[in-house]
Amino acid sequence: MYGGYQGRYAPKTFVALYHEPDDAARAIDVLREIGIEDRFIQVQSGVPYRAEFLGRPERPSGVPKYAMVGAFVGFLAALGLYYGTPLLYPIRVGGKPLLAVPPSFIVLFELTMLGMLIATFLGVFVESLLPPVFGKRVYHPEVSDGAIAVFFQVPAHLAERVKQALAATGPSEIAPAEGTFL
Amino acid sequence: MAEMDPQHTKWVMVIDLDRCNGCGACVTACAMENNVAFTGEEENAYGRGMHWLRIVRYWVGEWPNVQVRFMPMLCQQCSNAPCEPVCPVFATMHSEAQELNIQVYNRCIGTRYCANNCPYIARTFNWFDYEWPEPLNFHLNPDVTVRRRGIMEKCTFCIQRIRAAEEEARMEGRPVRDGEVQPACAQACPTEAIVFGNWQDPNSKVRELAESQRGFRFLEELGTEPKVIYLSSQKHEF
Amino acid sequence: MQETTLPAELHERVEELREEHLLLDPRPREEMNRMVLEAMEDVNREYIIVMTILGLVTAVTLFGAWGYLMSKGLGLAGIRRPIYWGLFIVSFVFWIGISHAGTFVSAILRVFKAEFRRPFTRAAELMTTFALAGAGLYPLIHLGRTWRFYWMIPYPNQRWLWPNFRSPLVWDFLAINTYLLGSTMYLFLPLIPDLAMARDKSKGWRKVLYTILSFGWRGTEEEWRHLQKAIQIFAWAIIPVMFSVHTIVSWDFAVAMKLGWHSTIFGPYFIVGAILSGISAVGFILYMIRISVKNMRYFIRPEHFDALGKLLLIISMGWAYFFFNEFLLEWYGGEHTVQEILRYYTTGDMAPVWWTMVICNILIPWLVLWNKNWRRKPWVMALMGIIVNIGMYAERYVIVVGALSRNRIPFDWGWYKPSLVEISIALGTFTLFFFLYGLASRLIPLIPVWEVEEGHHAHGLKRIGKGVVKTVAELE
Repeated sequence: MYGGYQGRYAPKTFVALYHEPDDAARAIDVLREIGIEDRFIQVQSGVPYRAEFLGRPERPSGVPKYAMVGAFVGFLAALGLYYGTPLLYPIRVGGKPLLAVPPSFIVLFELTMLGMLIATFLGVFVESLLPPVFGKRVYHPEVSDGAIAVFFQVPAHLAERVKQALAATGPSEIAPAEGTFL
Repeated sequence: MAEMDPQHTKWVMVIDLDRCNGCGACVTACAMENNVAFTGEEENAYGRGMHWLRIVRYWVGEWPNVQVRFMPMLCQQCSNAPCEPVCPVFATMHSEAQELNIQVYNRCIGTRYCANNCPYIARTFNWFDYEWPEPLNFHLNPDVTVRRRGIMEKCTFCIQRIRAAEEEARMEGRPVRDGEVQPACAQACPTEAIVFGNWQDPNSKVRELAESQRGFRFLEELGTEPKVIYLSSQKHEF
Repeated sequence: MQETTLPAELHERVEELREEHLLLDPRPREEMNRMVLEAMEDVNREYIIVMTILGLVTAVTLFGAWGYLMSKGLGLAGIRRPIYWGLFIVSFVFWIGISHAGTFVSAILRVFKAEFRRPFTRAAELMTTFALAGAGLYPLIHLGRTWRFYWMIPYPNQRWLWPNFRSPLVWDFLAINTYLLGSTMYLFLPLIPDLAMARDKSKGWRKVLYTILSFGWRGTEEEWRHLQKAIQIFAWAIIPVMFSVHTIVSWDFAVAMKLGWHSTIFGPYFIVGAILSGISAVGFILYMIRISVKNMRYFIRPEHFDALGKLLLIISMGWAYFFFNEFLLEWYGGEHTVQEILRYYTTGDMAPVWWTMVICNILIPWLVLWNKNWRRKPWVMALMGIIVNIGMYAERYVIVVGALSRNRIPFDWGWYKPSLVEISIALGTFTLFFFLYGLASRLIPLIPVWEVEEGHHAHGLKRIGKGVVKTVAELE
């Protein structure tokens, strides 16, 4: 993030580990008071916490957009398949019209839903930038044991001050964080 | 009609039940003409006979006043065929030229849905690859495909004969004459109970017979618009 | 948990509640993780023996018999004119029915925030996936030319073949594909955090496997936000898909010009039947998990069987309602052929099957499930699972085979006896299902640990006067 900064201004990433959401929320307040913006803080947790619980900025998820686009694509595909392709090679059956509307709803419904579900599924991965093919990322394995890991980035010269301030919030661990391949 | 327009042929069959004596010649002739597989006694008894045409037999009345009735039953070549729209791969479809219900053997994948949906139980299925025991293998008709296992088949109104007559008529530049096309069953019937012809030809024999008061279509109330017309002076309802 | 604020005299009651409800009985996440992983890694001799037997039996009875069937022809099955569909289609409808369990438990109960679902959503979703895997085989097995099944897929080809989108079988094909893909994705999404947990805690090949499968999940706020949103969308969207699948399966019959099939009530009737067999099968599977997988007695408790039992009773009543409707109205209509079909069901050759259906689906559930003590016994619910599923299998048999045996031409009435090959394939799907389930039980966490922990956070106790009650905070 601060690629250009060197020496004492070079950014360092730390992790503070908590076991109670109350403590984590307080720690985030402390960080903010020191002047670390929300975008330099990242929280990892073993269970989902709503943004409001930790006092983090509320941001809507982009996944519904994917769902809508997927549904639209699926709908178009179904339209093409049901109303388009029979015209290319008309075969009449059972004295019924070539393009019958009521049964088209079935095809339209199924393919719309299929498009929507696939897009939603893919949306999760694209939006969360998973899998991490673009390099290392910070992680604390205790997260899967239910801990709340607060990662933050500070210039090197401020690190000590931040650590001292955070000590009051009762973290079980404060340590420099290294990116790893997961 | 200078030339027979393929758009204007509508082949129909008239079966006079008052003439039918249930001899089964039509069944045999049909099997010979159409390379219908020979499934053997045991299989046949289990309901796996491949006959495209069968004689449906009923006993009417209480003993001792019992009457027997016969009704040759075959594909009715419905205009609104229930078997057609249910096929996922268009293996059964409507021929617009002859207004026949066509079974495309090569397309069939064997879902057997068409057979379930046929109110006339007219379709048969190739349960196995059947062999023709000697000397029956010599009779195979070269004009008709031999079907392999796993596909559906049914009466075609002897389409190979229809096509042959149509081609000959076209070469001679004339319409197909009435009585020129005769399916195997009609040809074999000793009492001439089965008559075949073009409905669009106003002078055809089928037209004349079909206008008889005795005429009815089997399961007409289902709206399938069958192209087989039965003639009977007796009640044929089950 | 605010038990510290509760007076001491309520202590006993609190202990009682805790023993009763999983979500009031929290254990540290670490311990739950350990319990779940232990269950996964518990590959003992018994397990290997059972799985080997299941695998071998499946290979012979399902795939062996299927290969034999393909090489000789469909005549090896007992079907004949006019009963062109037999045990294969019966089994197909049956397994599609079972597959409704997972979605019902995990989507409908999630949407309605029924908290008891938490520990067994995954167990139920796995049933959906594997039941669909079994069901999906039947449309292939029952084809006369199985090796041509791809002719139903719409893709441009040099054969000039294209499927008929007006055919119910193509609707089936589309619906089952949508449902299979949808429910598999729906199984996978909530699984990711648990796979990440397994990745952090395991070694060797398991570590490699879970690293790949967990897609680098870290549990950041964005990841959770997107995941939860997606789960929400899935839970809502998969419900109509589930309804559509069994409706379309019922339309395979209902659109046909076949008396006994051509019924407008078939859609909802089949759906209720599917949920009935699905829910009862969940009871059976939960019992199997509880007795055969390590540490599951903590997660799966009598309260869950009780809740399932109540659902089952209601759905059995729903099924009876539709069944009554379907039967009575057709009977009252008085059409000859229909009357003959109904007579064939109730007093003809089909009577043993038909009465099995009535007894197993209505009589036994109604007699047993009203009683809370019985509902709470896991083995009773397991037994109900077996009984109701026998009843539902019988129902499908009556509908498919029974209706086809009688038609408008009495000369062509028929009877049907399943052949050995058919029975073998039908049994083979059961062993396939249990084999896949057994495999999955050792490969993926059977309990959604994060959802259970979330449930622990959401649940608390509240004192009202001299009593104490369970409270639930609305989380997700």
